[in-house]
Amino acid sequence: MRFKNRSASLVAAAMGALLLAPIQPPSALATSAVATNNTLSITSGSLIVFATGSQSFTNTGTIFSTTLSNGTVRTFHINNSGTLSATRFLMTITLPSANSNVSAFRRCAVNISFTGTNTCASGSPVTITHPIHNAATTYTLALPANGFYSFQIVQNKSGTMLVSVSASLADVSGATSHS
Amino acid sequence: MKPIATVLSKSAGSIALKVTIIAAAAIGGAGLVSSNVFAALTATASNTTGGSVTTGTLSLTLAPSSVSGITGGFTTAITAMGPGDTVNRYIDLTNAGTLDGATPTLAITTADSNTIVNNAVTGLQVTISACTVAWTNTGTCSGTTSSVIATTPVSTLKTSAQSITLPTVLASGVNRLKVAISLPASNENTVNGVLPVGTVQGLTAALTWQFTITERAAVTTDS
Repeated sequence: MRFKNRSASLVAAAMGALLLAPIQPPSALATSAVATNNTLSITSGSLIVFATGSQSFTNTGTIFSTTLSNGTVRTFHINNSGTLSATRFLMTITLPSANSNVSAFRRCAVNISFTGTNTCASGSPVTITHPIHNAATTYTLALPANGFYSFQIVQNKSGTMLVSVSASLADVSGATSHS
Repeated sequence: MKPIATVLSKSAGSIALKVTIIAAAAIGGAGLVSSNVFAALTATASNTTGGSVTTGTLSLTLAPSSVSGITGGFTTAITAMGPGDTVNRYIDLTNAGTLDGATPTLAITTADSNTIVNNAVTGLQVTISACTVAWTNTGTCSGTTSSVIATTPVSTLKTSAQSITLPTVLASGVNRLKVAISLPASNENTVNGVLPVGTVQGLTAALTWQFTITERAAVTTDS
């Protein structure tokens, strides 16, 4: 009988706790409010420079290789298919021979192609420092996003010419904007 | 041998006595019960007006600045961000509730996992400052500025909510914030169209900014 009374008391206590629990002040649980935005999309730009024979923004991902003939002009392009602009780029030209003698090295203005020997689609060609066989030469030319330079080279050996190009993010000017 | 008339007379008397006792008990019992109902006096006092209890609210809202030219807030995408770039976005963070807030924090969530959100050094950085009046569209403050959070990598904000210092967490308080999102300068090289491993270039991160305040400490008042 005593046991039954205790059981009844326990049941009553439990029911009481269940009934009262929802109306107790949440002293230990602080209310919080959250403000969130719609998703902000951030995309970083890119600097994707590469050399090609014909002008193209399709990234080859490789060193440009072409055949040269003694005294024949060869046109090639340095392209930037990225979304960032660089103030300069580095070009290493491997000539057919260490003894190659470059007689002409020129370029058109940015985003202008050669249409013939020593003829730009617009403006006049600009003579630039002759490349040194296998030596990296820095060309301080602003290469814009989706931009290119057209080059022509004439030298006195026959064989393969390689053109390697690189650009550094250090040569991309940062900017501060308010939007 | 008793005469029959005597026997009957005693028997009848006994029955009458029993009926009388039962009736008396019933009346007495009813009297006891009814005395509980009708005998107590009751007094009640109640107020005639008021007595209304209203709970407060805690609500935090976030909206782009309404100043022309800097309404991008957290909704207009940022594209082609280059190393060394800083994009300032302007938002109004308001405690739109009736309760004061406390312990504000900021966290960023994203489903993206790449260098600009994971790398604490080369990835995106966030700096927030506040102005007591609306920011101009050139990023200047004609009032008083204060730091809400010092430059912090997105990777840190993604890992855990960070405490921030808002000028106000009071009910109806408005915080005019300049959120500077920057990509640190870098010297990584692209060679023949190939981006280096771990590059920060050409990546996208969709960020959800989560500002949180908690209810101010509960108070007991005498009024």
